[in-house]
Order: sequence, then C-alpha cells, then structure tokens
Amino acid sequence: MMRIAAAGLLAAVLGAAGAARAAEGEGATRPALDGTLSLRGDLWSGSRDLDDAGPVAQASAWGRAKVDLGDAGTLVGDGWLAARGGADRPAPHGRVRELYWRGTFGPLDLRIGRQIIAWGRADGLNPTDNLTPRDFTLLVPEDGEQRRGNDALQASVETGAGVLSAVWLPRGGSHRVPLPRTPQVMYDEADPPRRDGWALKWDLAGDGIDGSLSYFDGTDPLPDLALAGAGPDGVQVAVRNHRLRAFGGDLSWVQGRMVWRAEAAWMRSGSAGAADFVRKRDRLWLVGGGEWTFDGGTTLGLQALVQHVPGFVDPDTLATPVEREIAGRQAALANQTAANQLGASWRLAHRFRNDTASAELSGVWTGAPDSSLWRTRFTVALSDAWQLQAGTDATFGPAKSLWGQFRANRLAFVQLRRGL
Amino acid sequence: MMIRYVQWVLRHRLAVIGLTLLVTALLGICGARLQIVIDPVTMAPQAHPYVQATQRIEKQFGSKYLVAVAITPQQGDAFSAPVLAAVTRITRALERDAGVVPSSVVSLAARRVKAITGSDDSFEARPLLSGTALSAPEQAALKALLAQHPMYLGTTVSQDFRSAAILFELKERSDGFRAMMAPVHRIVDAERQPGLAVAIGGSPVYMETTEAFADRIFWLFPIALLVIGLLHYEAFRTRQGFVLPLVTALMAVLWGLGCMGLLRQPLDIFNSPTPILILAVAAGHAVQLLKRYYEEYATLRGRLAPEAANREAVVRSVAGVGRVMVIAGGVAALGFFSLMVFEIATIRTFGLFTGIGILSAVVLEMTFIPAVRSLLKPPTELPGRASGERVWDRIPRAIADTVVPRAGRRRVAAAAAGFALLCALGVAQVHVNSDSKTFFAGFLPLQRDDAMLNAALGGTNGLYMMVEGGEADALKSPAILAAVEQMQRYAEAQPEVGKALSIVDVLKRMNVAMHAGDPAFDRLPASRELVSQYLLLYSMSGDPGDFDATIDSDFRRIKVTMLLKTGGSATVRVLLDRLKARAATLFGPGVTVSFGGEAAQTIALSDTLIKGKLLNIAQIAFAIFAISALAFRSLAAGLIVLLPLATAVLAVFGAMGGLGIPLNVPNALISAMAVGIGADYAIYLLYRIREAARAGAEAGEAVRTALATAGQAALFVATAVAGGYGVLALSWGYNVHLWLALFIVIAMAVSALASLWLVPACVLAFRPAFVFGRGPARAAPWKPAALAVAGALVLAGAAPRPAAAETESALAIMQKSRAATQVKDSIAAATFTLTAKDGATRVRQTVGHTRLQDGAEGQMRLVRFQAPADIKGTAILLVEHAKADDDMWLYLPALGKVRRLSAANKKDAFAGTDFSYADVIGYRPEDWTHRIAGEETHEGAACWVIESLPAGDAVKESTGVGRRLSWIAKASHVMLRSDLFDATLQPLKRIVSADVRRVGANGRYQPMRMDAENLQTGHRTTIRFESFEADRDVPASLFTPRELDK
Repeated sequence: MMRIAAAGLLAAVLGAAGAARAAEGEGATRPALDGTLSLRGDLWSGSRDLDDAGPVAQASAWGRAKVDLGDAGTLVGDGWLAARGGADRPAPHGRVRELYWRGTFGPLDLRIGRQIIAWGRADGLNPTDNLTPRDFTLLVPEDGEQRRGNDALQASVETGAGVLSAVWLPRGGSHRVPLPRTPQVMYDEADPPRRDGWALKWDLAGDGIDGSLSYFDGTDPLPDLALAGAGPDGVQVAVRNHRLRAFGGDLSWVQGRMVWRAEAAWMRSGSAGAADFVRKRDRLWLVGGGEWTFDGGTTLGLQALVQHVPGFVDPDTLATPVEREIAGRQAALANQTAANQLGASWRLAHRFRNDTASAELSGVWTGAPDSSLWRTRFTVALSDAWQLQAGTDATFGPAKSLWGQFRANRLAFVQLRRGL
Repeated sequence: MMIRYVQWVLRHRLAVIGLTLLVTALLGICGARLQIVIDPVTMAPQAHPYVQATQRIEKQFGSKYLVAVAITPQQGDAFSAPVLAAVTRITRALERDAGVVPSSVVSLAARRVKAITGSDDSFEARPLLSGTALSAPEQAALKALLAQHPMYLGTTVSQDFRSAAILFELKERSDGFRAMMAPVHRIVDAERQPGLAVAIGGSPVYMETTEAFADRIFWLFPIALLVIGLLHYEAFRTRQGFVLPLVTALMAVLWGLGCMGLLRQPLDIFNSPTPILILAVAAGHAVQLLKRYYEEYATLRGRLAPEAANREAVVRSVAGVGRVMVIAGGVAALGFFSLMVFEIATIRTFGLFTGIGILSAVVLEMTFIPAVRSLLKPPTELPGRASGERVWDRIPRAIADTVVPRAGRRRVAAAAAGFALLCALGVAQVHVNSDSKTFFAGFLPLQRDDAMLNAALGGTNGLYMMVEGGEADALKSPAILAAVEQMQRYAEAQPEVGKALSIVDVLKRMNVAMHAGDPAFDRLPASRELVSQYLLLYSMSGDPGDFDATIDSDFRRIKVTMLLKTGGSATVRVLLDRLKARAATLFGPGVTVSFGGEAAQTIALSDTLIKGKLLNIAQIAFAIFAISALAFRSLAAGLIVLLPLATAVLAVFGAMGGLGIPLNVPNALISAMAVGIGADYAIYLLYRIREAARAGAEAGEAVRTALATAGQAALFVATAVAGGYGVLALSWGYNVHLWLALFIVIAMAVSALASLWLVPACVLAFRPAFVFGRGPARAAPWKPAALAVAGALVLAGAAPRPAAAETESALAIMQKSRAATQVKDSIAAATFTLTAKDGATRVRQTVGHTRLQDGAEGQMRLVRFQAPADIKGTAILLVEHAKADDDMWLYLPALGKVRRLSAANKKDAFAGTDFSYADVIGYRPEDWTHRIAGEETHEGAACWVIESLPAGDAVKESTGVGRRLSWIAKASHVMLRSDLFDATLQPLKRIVSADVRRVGANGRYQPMRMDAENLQTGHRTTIRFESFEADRDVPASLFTPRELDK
C-alpha cells in the first residue's frame, strides 16, 4: 500500500515537473509550476550492497517540482524512479524524497511534510547531521542524492540575533547500510521504533563568520548490530536503531582565500557501559580544517577528524567468538574501534572549461585501525542538456574497520544525464 | 599564473622564508646522520647468474671477501721466530674474531691447516707448527713437510719461503668495508714491528680504501663551494652573485642529503659526489635567475623607485625564467630518476637522490630566493657595467658572429661533424673493467702491497668453483674427484691463476700418507669407500670442522678456491669462459658446476653495467626529447635539445676510450650527469630565442639576444659546474674523483659550447615554427589592435591635455560612472550566453536581486540559476564589504545545503563566465589611479578614455588586472567599453556595453547587453537582460543564507 502511495506521489511530482516545463511556455502566472527533470542512464561496475554483483545498468528519472501558491505558500516535491539491470534485476522502484508545504509568515518560515534537513558546516563529514536518513546502497554519484527525506515539521524564525530553528520528527528514520553477506548470518532489519524526535538549532551568519549550536534528541539513523540468536541454521543479527542525543556546534570562517570549517558533536547513545556491545557508545566527534581556493578554479580542502569514545572496550575481549565477531562488526560500522581515533579528509577539485567540466579527488582516512575511502569524480557538460559523469569509489583497510568493511563496494561508474 | 604565484610568494615572503629555513633545518638534521659506506649487497646485480652462484657458494661455505696478509722479515725467512710468533698471534686472533669465517683461515698456525703424516697402517693430522721458535733442524723439517703438502705453498708461505701468509675470508655486513676491516687492522697492526714488513691485500682492502677516499668529499665540498662562488663572483662581480647561488646550492644539498638521511640511505662511493653535483646544478639554475633579475632590474631602475624596481624585477625574473627553470630542472631530475632502472641498488639510490636534490634547487629558486631577494636592498651595482666588455660578453658575441651568417653555420656544421667523428674513434676504444684496483693510483701503498702479495702468493682475488652432485656422497665418486683435480690443474696452468685448492689436495695427501709417503700414491683414492675411510681416519686426529670451507657435510658439494693474480673483469671473463668450457668436458650429467666469488661478481657488475648504460643513455635521451618536445609543443625542439647533449655524451665516451680510462660503475654515471646538467643550456637558450622572436626581433637578432643573455648565463653555469667538479682533481691518488673531474669538465665544456653553437645554428637554419610561429595567421589577433591602442595612448599621453584639465578629473569621472549604474535595488532576469573559441555555446538563465546595504557601502546580490537543468536551483549570495573580504554563500541542490565560500579573489570567474566578480561588482574608483588618456567616440557616443592603474599590489593581485582603459560616455557617464590588461600588462579582456536604458526612479542607467571577450582564450560571454526593474523595494531579508534553498 505504501509503495503505491509513494509511486503515486512520485508520479505527481514528476508530472508536476513536466507540467512546469510546459507552463513556462504558456506564460502561466499563479499558481506557478516550476521544476526540473533529469533522465539518467548509468553503468556501474558493481552494486553498493557488498554482494559482489557484476556490472549494473540503471535508468532513472529524478524530478523536482515547486508549486508557488502565492500567499498560500509553496509546495515542494522531489523524487526518483529507477529501473535496474544486472544479475538480480529488482522491479522498478522509486522514492519520494521530499513532499512538503512551505509558508513564510514574516520572520517565521514553516515547513511541513517529508523533507531533507542537512545540518553541518564541515565538508562531507558532519557530526551534527542526524536528522535525515540516507540509503548508502543507492547507486548515485553524489552523496546528497542518497538522502531519503524524513517526515518533519520545521519552524525557523529570524530573531535578529540569528535564526532559531525547531524541528519535530514524528518518527525517526534509518540509514540503509550495506551489510556483509556471510553464510549462515541472517539480518533482522526492523523498522525504526515509533519514537518521535526533536531538534533545535541556533544559527548565526555574518561578516566573515557563520556558526550554529544545535541539539538533537531522536532516533539515531545509523543502526546498531547485535546478536539476536544462534542456532543450527546460523546466526541472527538484529539491526536496530536506538535513541541518540547530540549536542553540536559548527563554524565556518573566511580568511582571505581560505575558509575554515569546524564541527563537533557530543553524542550520547544511551550505552549501558563497558559491557554493552550491542549499541554505540557515547562519543565526542570533531571535524575541522580549511578549504583553499586557488586561481584557475582549483579548490583544496583538508580536514582533521578526532573522535573520543569514553569507556571504550575492545570487542576482542569478548570470550564468545560469535559475540566477538558481531561486536567487532558493530564497532566498525559505528566507527568506534578505539578509544581515541584520528583521521583526515581531503578534497581536491578543479573546475575548468568555464565551469562546464570538473574533476575531483576526495577521500577520508581514519586511524586505529587504518582505513580509507578514495573517490574520483569527473563531470563534463556536453551541452546545456547533456552531462557526462564518471568516477570511482575505493575503500581500503581491514575488514573490521570503518572503510575496510566496504571493500567489496569498490566500483567505477559512468553516467549520462539529460536535463529537461 | 607565474606572476600571480611570485606575487603570492612575495606577499608571504616571511612565512616562505621561515618555512623554508625550518624545512632546511629539519632536513639538515636528518642529513647529518649520513656516512659513507659500501653495502656489498646494494652493489651487486642480484639477478645475475654469477651473483646468484656466489650467494649459493657463500651460503654453503662462507664468505667471498678474501683477505691476504704476508709477513716478511728483513733478515731470514718465514720460519724465523718473530715471523712465526706474529703469524700465530694473528691467526689465533682471527680465528676468534666474529667477523672472520673461522674455517677459512689458512696459515702455518691455523687450526684447520694440518700436516697429514703416515704411521703404520694409518695416518694422522697434526698442526704444522710445533712452536714458534724453531731450531734449524725443525725449520728444515717444516720445509720438507710443506714440500709434501703443495697446497700449502703459496697459501701459508711464499714459494721462496721468504714470507709467511695468512689467508682468510670476512663475513659480509651491510655497514661497509671499513667496519668489516677494522678488527683485521687492529689484529694485524699490533704485529707491525721493526724488522718485519707486513702487507695486506684483497678486495675488502680496496673497498675500505674506496670508502675512506670517498670521505674526502667532506673537505672537497667546501672548496667546491668556494670555487663556484668565486666563479660566480667573477661572472657577476656582485655580492649577490657570490652569495645567493651558493645559498640555493647549499640548501639544495642539505635538502637532498636530508632526504637521504630521512630515508636512511647511506652515502657510498657512487653517492658521495652527489653533494657537489647538486651544488653545481643548483648554482646553475640560480645563475640563470640571477642573470635575468639583473637584466630586468637594469631596465626598471630608471623608471621606478629602487625598492619598487627591485620587487618588480624579482617578479619579472621569476616569471620569465620560472617556467623554463621548472622544465629544465624537471628534465635534469628525470634524467637522474631514470637511473632507477639500473639493477644495482646503489645506482638507483644515486639517481633518486640526485633528482631530489635538483628538484629541491628548483623549489628553492622558486620560493626562498625570490622571497629573500625582495627583502634585500636593491643593488647599487650592476654586473659588468663598469668594467666594459669582458670575456663573458666576447664569447657569446663571437659565437653569434659565427652562427648568424649562413656561411658561418656551414663551418659550424663541418666542425661539429669532424668533432663527432673524432669522438667516435675514441668511443670505439672504450673497454669495460670494473676492477676496484683501477680506482687507485699505482703509487699508493695498497697497490704496492697488492703487487707484492700477488707475486709471492697464489693471488689476492678469489674465484670459486662449486661442484654439486645430486645426492649425498655423490662427490666421493673417484671419477668426479678426478675431474675436480683436472679442473684444478687446468686452472693452475692458466697465467691468471696462482693457486687452486680443494679437498682433492687433502685426499691425495692422505693417500700418500697411508702408503708410507710413497710418491707413487700421490693420487686420489681409487674408491668411494677409501675416501670415506680416509675422512674417518682424519677425523680421529684432526678436527671435523677442518673441511667446512671446502666440502659440505654430506659430500654433495665441493668448493674449489682459485687464487687469481688479477681482478680485471676483461681478463677474468676470458678465464671464466675457458674454465667453463673445460668443466663442460670434464663433468658428466648429474653434476653441476658453477662459478662465483668476487672476481666473478665483477663480471656480473660489468655485464649489468653495459646493459644498463645503454638503457640509461637511451632513456635519458628519450626523457629529454619527450619533455622538451612537450614543453615547446614541437618534436623539432626535442631534437634540437638532444643535439648538444648527444655531442657531450660522445665527447665523454670519446675521451674515455682515447685516454684508456675504463668504463666502470662510477664512470657509468657520467653520461647521466652530463645530460642532466647539460640539458639546461639548450632549453634556456631556446626559450630565450623564442621570447626575443615573439617580442618582434628578427631571427638573427633574437639569436644574438639569447646568446648574450641565456647563452652567457650558460657559460657562467658551465664554468661553475666545471670548476666545482674540477675540485675533485685535488683527490690525489683516487682515480674515481679524477675521472669524474675530467669527464664533467669535458661534458660541461662540450655541452655548453655545443648548445651555444648548434642550437642557434639549427634555429636559424630550420626556422622552426615553435620559435618563430606559423606566420602572420598565428599572431595573436589582439596584438595589432593593442599596439595601435598603445601607440595612440602614447601619442595621446604626449599631447597637451587642455580638455581634461578644463572639465572633470579622471577620478570624478570614474566615480560618477560607478554611480550611474548603481541602483538602490533591482530584480532582473538575464541570459548568459557563453561562446567558446570553436563557436560552441552554453546558455545560462538567471534571476538576480540586488540591494544597496543599509548604512554601509556595497551591494548585496542574490543570483539564482534557472537553466540549464544541471545547475538549476543553484544560488549565490554575495554581500560586499568595502573594508573587508566580501561574504559569499553558495547553495547547490545536489548537496542540499548552503556553504560559505571565500570571496577574497575578485578575479575569479563569475559562474564560469568571462566576467570576473570584480567585473560584476564593479571596481572601486578609489582603489585605482586614473588619468584621462584621451577622448574618442564609441558607437557614435562621445567618450572619455580613462586609463586606470591599480593603486597598490593588493588591488592588482585581487583583481588580476594591471591596467584598465575605460570608455566613459560623456552624456551618461556609463562605461561603454572597458579594455582590461592582466598583471603583466598583456591584453586580458574587453567588455562592451550596449542598449543602455534608463532604469528606476533616480536617473540611473543599465546596459541591457554586455559582452565580455577574453582576449587570451578567445572565450566570450554575453549577458542579455530580458528584464531589469530598479527601485522595487526588494527586502533586505532576501539577502540571507537561509533564503538560498527556497
């Protein structure tokens, strides 16, 4: 039933996008439709499901539409439909990523409905970004396109001393994460508990410096792994989302040609203590660094990552092999493999041909144990309508490390887009 | 790009200097740990069959490093008491020493050297010496005993009994031969006393001496430094000319050595000249830059204040030479990096670190030196000004006089061909010989000792033959043992072999002993069983370990030691060929014979060397050709750059062959050095010829200019490099340094002179397109126009300016012009059409809002992109600040959030168009100095032409504009046309406004069409406003980041 509803909504969004194009030609005024439609054909060397599947061909349509209702606000919809080829050919499927109403009442901005809320001023790694779940198995070139949207009521008000935002989430969402396919290991992936959540953020933006303080209390979108049972048929692993409370702050500060970015969060997971290996532990996570802009369209971003997990206990101390194995995987998934972890991220991007082409090399390294993610992206706009994109993702590290666990997801892709 | 880079360096010069010094200090600390050692493993080509055989033999029987000691009394013979006492003490000490293979020690007193004498129906093995003070009968008995044991003659005593000998092998170690030999010297030197002559020889002695002599680099280096400095001072006659190249060179050496220390790579004989090499190359680059600096300063100092001229000269010199320096340095570094293909690890190390050193020099010249030079007081003296024409001027001029006339070029070609022929004759005489004895002059004591040892004993060079059977006891076979004996006798019949030893000699002696000393039984036992029984009998009186150095425990392998009187690779190669041929006839199937030892390894080294050498030369040539061709985008350029280098390599090898100098490992590096250093000259020269030609000089004049500038600098460099290397000639007695000095001086002289003659000759003869262009069609289209404009401006500037004086000031005009289009707020829909040089177009549609800030100078701008689809939804918010960097935020739909960006650089392209942010925002009139350059009409409108120059470097840097010409309509003060010139004053772009309309309620104007053309890339952008509404009370709240994602 939900699928049908989602598909219906999506069709409406895509239709609205097409209508918007038509409306432009007709000189329609209000309610004004506006939108984009992106038709894409991709070829991926593999999936992001840790399944060693062969090459995957994919066709998809991504649409975004906006209906301006004048004084009555704005309706915004965003979604996609995809059909996949490859070894296991799933049925065409789709997702409504956003469908919300937005109204502005003086200094108050209100948004109601499914929406994507992305927090954090650091580059790519955002400790305060816990409000919107993602599908990490989705075959899309951009991280932002993996966001799934979450039902929410968001109010933000310009106070004169910054913008105060309040968000209520009737139900938390869960990231979809690739889980290793091991013989005789079954995953019990339950929907997130029907627990509501809320968040507050105070944003300041001004001369040369922006920053915010935030608090989130809701469902942690990153699930935890726990041993649910073991029998002759194998081991059952529960995949569960738990409560998370996060106090965070971020900052971006311009100094000449350089932008400094920093973000930190103290994240409390409700861990029961040293002996609790079935959920994340509390942690302090800091990300900070600079972004240099050079002449000629080159940007270099470098960030340091620091994480402290108080009361960390190595899962290898567990006596039972199965528990030890599951706890090890959980620690890797939560990136809690040591009491203190350092890391770094980098992004070197270059735009050329009058911004119609770009190349980017980015990556993340985390220590204890060492593991890393390396990415390349090349994009060229063949014309105003056609765009070609290619890239690679490669992860390195031991199996029980943040990036090493995804080694089977190393892939390369090429995508051709037609924008309408 | 280069100018911007240098300006950046100068802006941050203190930080650059500080950082460079810090890096230098850190690397200096790392480099201080270096020492010169020879790690034998790094020298041997590990894949060579002789090396592998040697390693197998070593694994089974011990080391290959044979040392011979001879003690000769002034009175008496080897059996006198002092000699025997000394031999005994030395032998005992060596047998105890951990660095010596115990079973390898052979002497009259050695435990494993025993006399085998018969008793009734058995024999016994007992020490040769019964004591050290022998009576005359005892001495006679010992002589008789030795006569019965011929294997001990030439090994324990000389054939004439004058000298007693001790032979032993040292264990291999990686920390060098000095460490290997140190305990030996301690033991042997303790026995040096009046009346006894002690000689010591063997390859470890040569190698330790090589290490010691290589240490001379530590005192040669400062002398080289001084020589190079003095040569530069002579060339420039300025203090900067003396100091700065040396500073670069010294720091580059520290960086290169620091990297070696950092990577824990020791210096060895091949790496020890590296500091001087880096010193020379680094100084060479520094000279090119310094020469250019003085040229630029000479042209600027009359026009600018000294400090400004100094700074500008620094910028221009680095901008002018920087690119070619990077290319030339890259070529040189790649030349050295190409040594990485050598099989010999030490040569790979040499190539890697020399390359690093050269790159360091380039980095320093591009960072530290400009920063320092900009801080120095402007020079009050200029090189060569006071002293009139000097030899440095006369040589390039004489060369120019030779090559510019056509007839002269013919003579140059004929002379070059004759020289090449002469060199080719020498090349045919080149012979390969890696014997380390050739590294040293004949008068050195170690050479005398070696000669004495080789005359008195079997020899000081060890060659081993290992005979292997398939199964245990296989070699007890009388047939195989007989074959081994025949091999020994055959080897001893060769003139190069002094002695051949193996278990066979012992078995024969046992057989004689078992038969009451009957000489008829001086032959091998007739059966396997007899061999076994003899060995059993021996073990009853002798020591079971006595034969460890000659047979393995299960008689599967036998080692035959051959003592050679020479280590020359050519001689040993012939000998080995003969021995292998003989072995093939003597040993049947199932028996493997292999040869190893240090003499054989020398062959391996030579084989690898020849192959690697050819590969190396081809590789460097290809690298230089490819990089030069890429740099100039011309295959002809690649060939021209190669020409002088090929001449230099030919000259080096010609001299090598002609003078009878062997081609060995150290000399093998010379071509790489010559090419690596010499490539610079041709590249610098070509760049300078092209620069002059592009500046409009006629071909002959371009060549003369290039020879007088870059050519002269090449002479400075060649002289300095040759001088630096010439210092190695002070390393008396050490041929390696002498050869290097000789060859590098030849290489430098030939490559410099060949560059100065052949490169211009080729350029003038073939008129390549990469220098002179492809004719008028290739000339930049803006040049005639720019020249015309410049000419007009000069004329206008020279003419009286009553009109300007009578009306408004230039600043007032520009202020009014800025105000003329400045509306309180606006809402506009615009289409950006981007047109590439090939005519391809891209269209971007935007909706923009602007608003003047309340109570502050500057505007706020919000631009949303509506098309094309891939960037639709992208929004930019820009808030200008007069006294600080602007604020800028960007919203990308794919990212889903707003990001703050840096807006400090107003020269960045606005959304990929040919308009920069500065063009969009407008140039603050107060940041520029203006003058009315004239009055013209533009599209029928009367205009002032205003020339604007940046008021300071910061404005020039942030806008990327060094000069603007603006056509300001007299009627409206609207800027109708603007020509912009980049920081080097080259035409950058032209912006033309059209369809000017009145907008808003305050009498403002707005051009509804603006065209920008980048004159350097040919790319164009047209902005056409479909609508433009001014003064519509656009709310300030719109210009906040949270509005961007709406």
